Amino acid sequence: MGVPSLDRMDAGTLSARLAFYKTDADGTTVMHRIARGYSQTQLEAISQYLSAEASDE
Amino acid sequence: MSKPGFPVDRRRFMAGIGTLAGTSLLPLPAFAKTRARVLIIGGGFGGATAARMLRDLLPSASITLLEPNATYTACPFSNLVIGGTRSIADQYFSYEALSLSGIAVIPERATDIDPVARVVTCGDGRALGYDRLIVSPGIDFRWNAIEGYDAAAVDRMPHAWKAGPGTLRLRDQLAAMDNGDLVVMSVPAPPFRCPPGPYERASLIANYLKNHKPNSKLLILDSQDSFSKMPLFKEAWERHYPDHLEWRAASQDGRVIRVDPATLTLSTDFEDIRADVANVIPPQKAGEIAARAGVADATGWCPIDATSFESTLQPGIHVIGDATIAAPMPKSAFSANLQAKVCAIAVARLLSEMDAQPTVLANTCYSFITPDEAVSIAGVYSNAGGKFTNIDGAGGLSPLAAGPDVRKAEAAQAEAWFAAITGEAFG
Repeated sequence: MGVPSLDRMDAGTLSARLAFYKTDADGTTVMHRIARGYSQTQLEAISQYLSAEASDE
Repeated sequence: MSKPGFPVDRRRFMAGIGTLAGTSLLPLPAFAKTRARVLIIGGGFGGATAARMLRDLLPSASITLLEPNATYTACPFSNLVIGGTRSIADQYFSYEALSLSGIAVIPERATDIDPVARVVTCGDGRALGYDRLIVSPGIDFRWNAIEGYDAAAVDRMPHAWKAGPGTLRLRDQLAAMDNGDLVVMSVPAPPFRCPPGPYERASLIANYLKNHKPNSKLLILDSQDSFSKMPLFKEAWERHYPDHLEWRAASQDGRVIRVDPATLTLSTDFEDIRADVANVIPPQKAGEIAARAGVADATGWCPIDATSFESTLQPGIHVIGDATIAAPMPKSAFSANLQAKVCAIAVARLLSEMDAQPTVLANTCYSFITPDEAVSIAGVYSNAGGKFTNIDGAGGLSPLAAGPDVRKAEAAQAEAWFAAITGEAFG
């Protein structure tokens, strides 16, 4: 399966994706197992950080 | 926030948000333009990552890495080398990128540490002063904890628990043995580096036997009765290696107490077993320099304040990676990488008259069950209040009874993880 690129993801999209993992029952990646350990606020902070990193380029 | 020079590979998203959490959850303040001297001992996944992170966080500080080996040989994925499906060259990494970024990489071993004077002595006699020291020494072995297993035994009975020449020796012994010969692996009691590692290795050795020495078998003599990802491994073994792998638990007389390298004999309480190839994974402790620095306790491992990674025994010295007492975080490259980032931020804060702050850490360990199928375990942890605790409801294992497509997808994610983690540390 493909690995999604973060290069063009804005913070809102990222944050929504990460939040989705918290309830995702799909067992094919570790993402849902890890995302459940973070609060919504923390996932938003991660998204902000990653999208800022991407726009630095 | 811009952090030039620190390669966060956004294309490796599947590496897991955990690898990024150390930098993500803490709003990074403008650190003091400190000219402090930070010294890092050990250039593995922990030390190399910490050095790079600090280089970026503290541009005016002096960042020095002491690492005697010019080439780093990565442990993750090295079981594939033993199983014959991966080249050791894919495990090699250099410190060139670190040197180019302004980290002083000194190719010497740290031979002594004076925690009061804050001076480290190198193998060449040089004395290096520091304001903060980060020790990332990995593991060393408890020679003769298994009677007869000492440093001289490793040629005949390689442990291959530090990737390098031993990895190749074990691979070559497997290749040279006859079809029908017996392979025996001894697994120590915990704690040890890479809890699922012995069982990944067993899977890949069994895979090699199945394909190349079909009349041969691997016997695992275990000092444990249960182990990491046990249901997933047992399922895989039943499915792939019913004729090539036998696991004997500690309670079934599996614990090896004595070996004789000359005759390749492994002895339990009640039995002497003659092997044709013997892989003895010995009991372990923190890398030797930890004891000399006074940061290891009676257990042989290093107690730390989980929030700052500062030793609870020696102020001014931080310890990260396999050497630490960090349970429930396992001793893994993933843990070491993330602990390095969190520790680097804590050191930068402490050097800038700020306290260390708690955050959320994570770990994922992938294990190959065949050369192209993998399973994983994940965990998420808090380091608040100076202690590591599991965050309930998070983490867990790959699903049982999943098809080969799921296992192959996880193998691809494992590859992506390896590329990301080695890129962060060395790339």
